[in-house]
Amino acid sequence: MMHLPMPRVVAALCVALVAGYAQAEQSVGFSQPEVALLLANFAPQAAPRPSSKVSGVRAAIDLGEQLFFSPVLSRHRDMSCATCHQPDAHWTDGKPVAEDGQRNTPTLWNVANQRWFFWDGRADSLWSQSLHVMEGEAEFDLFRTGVAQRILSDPQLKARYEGVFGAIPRPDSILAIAACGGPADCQEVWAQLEPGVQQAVNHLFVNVGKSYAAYVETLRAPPSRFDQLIESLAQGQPRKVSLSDSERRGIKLFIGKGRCLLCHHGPDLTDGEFHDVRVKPRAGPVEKGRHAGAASVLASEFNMLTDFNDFPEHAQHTAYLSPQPDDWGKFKTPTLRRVAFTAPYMHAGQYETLEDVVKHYSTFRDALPPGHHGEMLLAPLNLSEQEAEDLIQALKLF
Amino acid sequence: MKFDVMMLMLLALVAPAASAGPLKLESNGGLYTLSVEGVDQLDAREFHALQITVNCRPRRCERLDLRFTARMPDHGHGQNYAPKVSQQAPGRFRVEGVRFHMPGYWEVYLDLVDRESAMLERTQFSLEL
Repeated sequence: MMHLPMPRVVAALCVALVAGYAQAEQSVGFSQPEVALLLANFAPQAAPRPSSKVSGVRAAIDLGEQLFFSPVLSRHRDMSCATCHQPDAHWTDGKPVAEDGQRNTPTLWNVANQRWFFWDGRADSLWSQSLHVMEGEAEFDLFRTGVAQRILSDPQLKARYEGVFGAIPRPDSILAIAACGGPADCQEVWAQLEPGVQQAVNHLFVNVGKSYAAYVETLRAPPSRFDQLIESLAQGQPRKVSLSDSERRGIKLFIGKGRCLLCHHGPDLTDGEFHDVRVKPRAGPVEKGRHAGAASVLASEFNMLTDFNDFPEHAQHTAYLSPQPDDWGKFKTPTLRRVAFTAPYMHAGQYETLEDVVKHYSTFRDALPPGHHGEMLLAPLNLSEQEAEDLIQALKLF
Repeated sequence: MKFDVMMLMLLALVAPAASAGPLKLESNGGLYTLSVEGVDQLDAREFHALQITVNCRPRRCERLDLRFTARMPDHGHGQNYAPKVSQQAPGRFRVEGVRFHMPGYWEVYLDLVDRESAMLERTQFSLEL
């Protein structure tokens, strides 16, 4: 097989050397390739790409914030986004699985940077993610007609909505729709609506999603000590950040022997993609994971390939998505930002502590067998007690 | 995989690509030669397109299809995205949506299928991304 050379590797090494990082190696204990690797893979956070035309619009952000903390759009007015994404818990709920009983609640820090949403990636935009929540049977369980009616029925919400998106079309027709509850109960009612009313409801529904997204996009993680380290390395001033020996060794493990970097890279320490890291389900057979998520997003009437997407040029990931057998059992690589505060871990909260997570990768004891759809490269790291502790100290820097 | 090797591979993620001409390949059975443009731009972050020209006898070119696949043999999986192949002229193909979602060692397979005889000839190359 023809094998291509690696001119880019040589170029990157030369850049690191010319930039004078030899000094950094001696002062912080990182080798020249390690410094180059850290700088290459953990660039400072870029401004998030807007998910819709109201991203960054103050009135939309305010409306989204009000809705985020209000139970008004849940069927029984007893649940809001903040029920699971609690600000004081780094936008998680501290439970193994959320109210839906299936998945661990991920943090919302820097979620605007992501391209897939939910652990199985069944939404391809931040605004369509919230549409799933509103209609989710185990979540808000309120069909879109009910969402539209509640916005229209609340003078203050209606005014705020129309302040962002303009007058709501067909308000009388929407208010006249028979109350029907959750999606499972509303299909007959929906089928009887004329297309113009369905279109008006769908646009309102999507716009509510875009309002939620406008607010959630503002949740940016405050700079971490790891960010400070990267910044100091970039400035050639490694002494600016004080790290313990254990933390330094942990970072070296993270980018080296631990192979964490293969999936956890980039400004949010995630590749945003899907992998099978051999974590056993809480109960029952191996879950479909990305296999179902990919099929779901392609079937969605609100995906990035539809007219609801304000930026068709951002739809590449959906356009080239194709469900395949390899997807079975894969879940999204989570961000590691504030990971020390977002326990439990993994897609169903299988591990209570960082110690448990590190032990998983160190031993793969009680893990799914390797090979079948999983990353075959995953082999026990066989970390010593000290190495495991060092890696945990590094994770706490994020 | 040794640590140094892995670091070198990961460094390649963001380093600028060296300019190079089209990649010249011969199919395993020797029926075709291929010229692949765009290989020097490939990385593990973005979507890319490849332009592939197959050198073949005119009649054979007219009935030729191209299939594109890529796998990470060390990991036991392929791509998370499915590139789309379009034929622009007999023997001339464009592959869009090429995205290697992980850094590391990839094997790329270009399968040329003669629609009339169903004969398949494989051509392959590997990448360190």
